[in-house]
Amino acid sequence: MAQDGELVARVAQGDGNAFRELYGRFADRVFRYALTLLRNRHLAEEVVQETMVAVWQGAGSFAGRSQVSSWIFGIARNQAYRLLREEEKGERTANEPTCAPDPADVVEQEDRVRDAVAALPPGEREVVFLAFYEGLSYREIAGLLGIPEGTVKSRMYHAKRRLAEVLSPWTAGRQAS
Amino acid sequence: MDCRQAGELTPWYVAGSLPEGEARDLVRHVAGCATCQDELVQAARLARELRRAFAGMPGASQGTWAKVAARAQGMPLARVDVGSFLLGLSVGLTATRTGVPVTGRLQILGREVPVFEVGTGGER
Ligand SMILES: [Zn+2]
Ligand SMILES: [Zn+2]
Repeated sequence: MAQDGELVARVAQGDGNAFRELYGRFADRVFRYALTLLRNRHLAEEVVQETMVAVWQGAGSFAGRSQVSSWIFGIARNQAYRLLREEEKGERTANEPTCAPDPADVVEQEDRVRDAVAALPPGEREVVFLAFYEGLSYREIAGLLGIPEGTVKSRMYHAKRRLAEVLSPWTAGRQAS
Repeated sequence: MDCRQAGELTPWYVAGSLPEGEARDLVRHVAGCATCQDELVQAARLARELRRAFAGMPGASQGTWAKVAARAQGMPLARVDVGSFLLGLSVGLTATRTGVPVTGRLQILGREVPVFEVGTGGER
């Protein structure tokens, strides 16, 4: 199986098959990241679109200095905040009259852990997602977010405490006595 | 290393991304500290639950690939609608939930346009 970096190099040559493969590897991950950040499925969907189009257009400028995933999540992050700002300013026009609900949308299950994550401050839930789901190190996350490593660590520290509080009766084992 | 410092590193350790040197220091502290041993067990449990929760989130919807593919080909988004016909443009597409494999077939005014001709897929 091709490495992510090889795929990006092929995408830079205009290889559509490589692009589709790269899309397959990243679309859901980017969607979940955006959904974690924005808590809005519709915007998250747009983040995927904007991000992958930017990947197609920008593959030639990917220098391989960072991991492909850091690069793509960096793009996604910028797109997410841009869309959020536009949404808040009411600048966004409904550009997709054909948007029909995905059947999967309707049956979203409740999940206690996910709810607990959603209740964290945005900066904390982002760190939790990138660390535990994407496996990025605090150094990589600091680079991605443009903040000091110490800040990433303290966000994680607080997030972990808060999640443990919320979930402890249920994750079992430790109870406050 | 004190317990506060250990507590900052524990989540990264269980996430599997703590650099080796720091991991070694952490393990050395934890080996002699019952409080941090509990912390470590709790963090590992939390990590597992978090991964499960994130993996259980919905993914991008099926129509997204068609929109991305069309935009990559320089077509206006407004004209793309999965499975329908607008202005002579149709996007035929089969997709799995993960987006792999996806077959993109794009026709403009009856002419097949080479989009992303895809083989069997499933190479994830
Ligand atoms: Zn919509
Ligand atoms: Zn300790």
